[in-house]
Amino acid sequence: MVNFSYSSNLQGSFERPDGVDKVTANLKFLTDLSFPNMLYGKILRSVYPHAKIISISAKNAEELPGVRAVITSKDVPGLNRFGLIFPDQPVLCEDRVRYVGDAVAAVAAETEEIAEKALQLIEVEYEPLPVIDDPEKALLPSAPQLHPDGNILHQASYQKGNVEEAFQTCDFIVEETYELPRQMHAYMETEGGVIVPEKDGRITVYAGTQHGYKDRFQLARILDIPESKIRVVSSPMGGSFGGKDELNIQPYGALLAIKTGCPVKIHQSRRESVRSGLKRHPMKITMKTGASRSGKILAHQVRIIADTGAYATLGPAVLDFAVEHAAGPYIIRNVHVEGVSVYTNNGVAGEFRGFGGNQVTFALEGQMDRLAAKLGICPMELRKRNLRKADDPGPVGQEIAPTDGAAQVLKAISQSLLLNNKEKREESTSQWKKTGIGVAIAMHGGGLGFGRLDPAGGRISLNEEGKIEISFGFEEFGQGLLSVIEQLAIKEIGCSSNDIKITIGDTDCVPSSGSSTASRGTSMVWHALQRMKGPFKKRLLEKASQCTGVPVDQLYLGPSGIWSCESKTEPLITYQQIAYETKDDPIQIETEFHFPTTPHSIPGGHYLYSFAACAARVEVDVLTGIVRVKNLEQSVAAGPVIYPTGYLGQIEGGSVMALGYTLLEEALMEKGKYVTENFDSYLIPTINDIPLSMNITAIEDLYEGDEYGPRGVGEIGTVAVAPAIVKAIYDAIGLWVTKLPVSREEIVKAVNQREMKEWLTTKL
Amino acid sequence: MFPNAFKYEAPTSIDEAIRLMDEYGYDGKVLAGGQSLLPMMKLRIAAPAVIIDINNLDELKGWSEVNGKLRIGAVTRQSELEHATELRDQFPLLSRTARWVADPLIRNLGTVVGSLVHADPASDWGTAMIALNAMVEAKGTNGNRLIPIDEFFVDTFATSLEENELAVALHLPIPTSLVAARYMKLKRKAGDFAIAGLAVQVAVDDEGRVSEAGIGICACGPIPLRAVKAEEALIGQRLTVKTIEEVSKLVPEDADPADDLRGSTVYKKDLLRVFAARALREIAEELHGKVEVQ
Repeated sequence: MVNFSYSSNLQGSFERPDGVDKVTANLKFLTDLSFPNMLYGKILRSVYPHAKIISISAKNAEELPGVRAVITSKDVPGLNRFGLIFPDQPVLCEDRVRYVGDAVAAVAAETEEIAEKALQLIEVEYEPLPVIDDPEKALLPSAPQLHPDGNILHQASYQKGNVEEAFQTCDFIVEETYELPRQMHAYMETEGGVIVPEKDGRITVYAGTQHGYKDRFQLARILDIPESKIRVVSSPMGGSFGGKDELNIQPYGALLAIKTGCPVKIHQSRRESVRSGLKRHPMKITMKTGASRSGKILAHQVRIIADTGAYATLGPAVLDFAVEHAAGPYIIRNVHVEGVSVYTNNGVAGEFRGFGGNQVTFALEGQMDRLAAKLGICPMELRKRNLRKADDPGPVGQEIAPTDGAAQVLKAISQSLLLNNKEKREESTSQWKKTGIGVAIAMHGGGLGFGRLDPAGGRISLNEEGKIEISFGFEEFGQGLLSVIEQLAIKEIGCSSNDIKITIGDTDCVPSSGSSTASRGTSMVWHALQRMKGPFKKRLLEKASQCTGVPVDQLYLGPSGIWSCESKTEPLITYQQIAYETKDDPIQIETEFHFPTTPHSIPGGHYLYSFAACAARVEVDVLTGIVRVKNLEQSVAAGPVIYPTGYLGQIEGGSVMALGYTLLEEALMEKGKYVTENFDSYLIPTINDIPLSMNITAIEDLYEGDEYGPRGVGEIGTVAVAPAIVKAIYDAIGLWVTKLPVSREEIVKAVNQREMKEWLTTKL
Repeated sequence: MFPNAFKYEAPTSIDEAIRLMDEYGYDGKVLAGGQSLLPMMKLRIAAPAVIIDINNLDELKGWSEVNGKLRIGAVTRQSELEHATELRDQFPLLSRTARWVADPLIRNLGTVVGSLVHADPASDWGTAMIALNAMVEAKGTNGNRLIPIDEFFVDTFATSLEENELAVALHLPIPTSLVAARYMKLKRKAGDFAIAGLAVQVAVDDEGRVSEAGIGICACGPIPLRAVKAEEALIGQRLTVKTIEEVSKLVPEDADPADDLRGSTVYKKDLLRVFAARALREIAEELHGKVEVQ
């Protein structure tokens, strides 16, 4: 019997507002919705990773009984492109396809089966073109050009000091190339929803996304109708992790709904989702890092090549983020980082929890461990000697909110059980298994960064029913945003959960809050409430005072209504009564602001950072190469905890997702086609693969004078895990892993080549 | 996904089942535990027009001793064999294999004979039956016949059963001396098919020499394979450190694994060697309390 032990310093557990409905399957996701006269849509995607379209004939499909519409590029009234930064991805390809997820046509039919049959009847004549399946090949002068401006999507760099000169003075230098795989978000609910043409000429888009207003903007451009004609209902959804940030099925559903005048439902199968959906950027990162004998890092040179696939989406921003975080929480005098994000005919890479930070942190922490080994000093000590101080500038020299997070997490992890229980560390369950331990730390910027539109805002009102209605343009995709809003409202306003109504995910009735991405949701809800709570309470108290004759300074907001210092058992006046009294002039406070940014004009440079340290203990089966993570601990410094269960869920869930990234997951492509099309071949961790114990420590103290409150923890839990695990593997068997996911073959090979061979033959 | 529409037949006798198989030919498919068939139908990989459900046939249930062999009926569930303590001494490989098959839910419904007829190269039962030198009893319109397991598997998902022949039982030789067995398997993760697997059964005589050896190889070729060279090398030997080392090196020689997502050829062959050494070592310890050096 296995004993799982999960512990943390996060006490208190609250019921999620959506929790019971979720576990009892009563919650309707948007893909569960059905409407009268609803049709089913299907999208025909390219069979080639790169080809010219010679002709498309939809005649046979159109004539199939039950088919109500077939659309091709000719049916797109507006801009036949989408893309969050710049629109370069065709909604429906005109003359060329650039990856196997490219859409060529779409159909709406009375049943899914008919729609599927119709897809097979659409005749597309292609002329295959040479496939670029590797970003390095894409950079060759002889490579075919995938886009008008060539194959380079984006280049980014950062430089300070002079690395060439500094390397001359280093006593030790390590240079290594790290390869990171294409990871799949693997959300449970694949992309889908229903698009409904309304009687008043508008359309309602019921489809999950991470930013309803952005979808509305992009759809208006494609459909060539005003944004006011589109309503986007975008929550709740069954997971996203960045993967549903970009448009997916919405334009096809909308075009088909408008053409047929009927609601159209599209829900992608897993295979379609894998083929068309975003993935984490595969990156090849070369780092050269030099230090003095005393363990001071003097120079750090980084080159990043990212495979962004066929289209841009947020590829440029992901690269900027990777370049920014390439020196992480370390203060190094001479740094040179160069990054290039390259178009290929591989699946589109884009936004994914961690946003380029996971890749560079894997490489950076790998460098730290290799340097420490070369120098012969404790890896924790090496980190400590080069760690940023609270007032140091950010990783690209920019002014940031002072933070001691790096030192806090390093200290907390060094005090962890895992590092201080030698006996337990070395305990092995079999003679064939070797154990090891590794530690890594990470730094992660929140918000979109300098120079990016990063608006935030919210609204609080006392509605007609007497509920305190709190509205945000954020989305609930499982991360627990509703709980965060509820907990913060209770704390900041003083009411009870029964007094609150939360409205999110509907562009017709929520204010603009910006995207639910970049670990910004929790942080922006807190900021918005800080701005709104004062005026809102004031209006309520004034009205209460007016109605009751009790002076404002003797009143306060409590459960069900306004209480006076005298009232003991019930409020002096209820929220319903105040709502009735204010029905002609309802109390409503709105706020709009911008995510805090650095004053330095560095594109994408961040101002607020969170930190994590991870310790992992692994057991490596030296005969089979199987690695099991037995214990995992994380210390996180991200400000005050709002909702402990959700915080724990983010860090534990993030740890497991990163464990999969390290040991199992790779969306393999061969010549531009996915080899792993479903979960039979693309493996994600199950209960059997996760650590037997996880311990999460939340460090809530902010640096003195920090007024920015809680930071989001959606991403930070995923960043430091991979480097900690591979360091633990080194600790166990002396192999430096440079490529993820960790290969069993490589481990067996290494074991066979090393001194362990003797140990093995005597044992065997 | 839902399967294609199909006609459902539930015969009440073996003869009726065979008559239905004869009538529907290729369009019909026999349903025993359904643990491979139903997922394939739901994924529309298989779309039989007729399902012939043999679960009502009591004569296909359970096991008994017949002519010096253990006869296991075709709808005996894997979990029944897993938990049959009375079979543990003479047929330890049954429960040891069962534990490695998928998960308890699948074993509660899935049948051993059904798994053999499905003929997946990664079939744990196919591998175990090679080690046990089993025979499949088939019944058709022309009567009964016994098919040795080595002649039963023809190719991936193909057996030597005729279209109208029903596999009604499995016959296992009853060991006459002390036996021990191991099933070894490596999967990438829970629920996945094997990267490679190995079934080993050894019988020893009074002098501690191997009198019978069966070694089956899983997921390393188009069908479950037999490690012929290793088996031959074991006969007459004592299970010493040296023998185990030599024999374990012979096992991969009869394997023919493919390079695929689960691992490379070299890796899989090495796994088989490791499994063989581990299995024989454990068997030696079980039978003799230790592994002799000489």
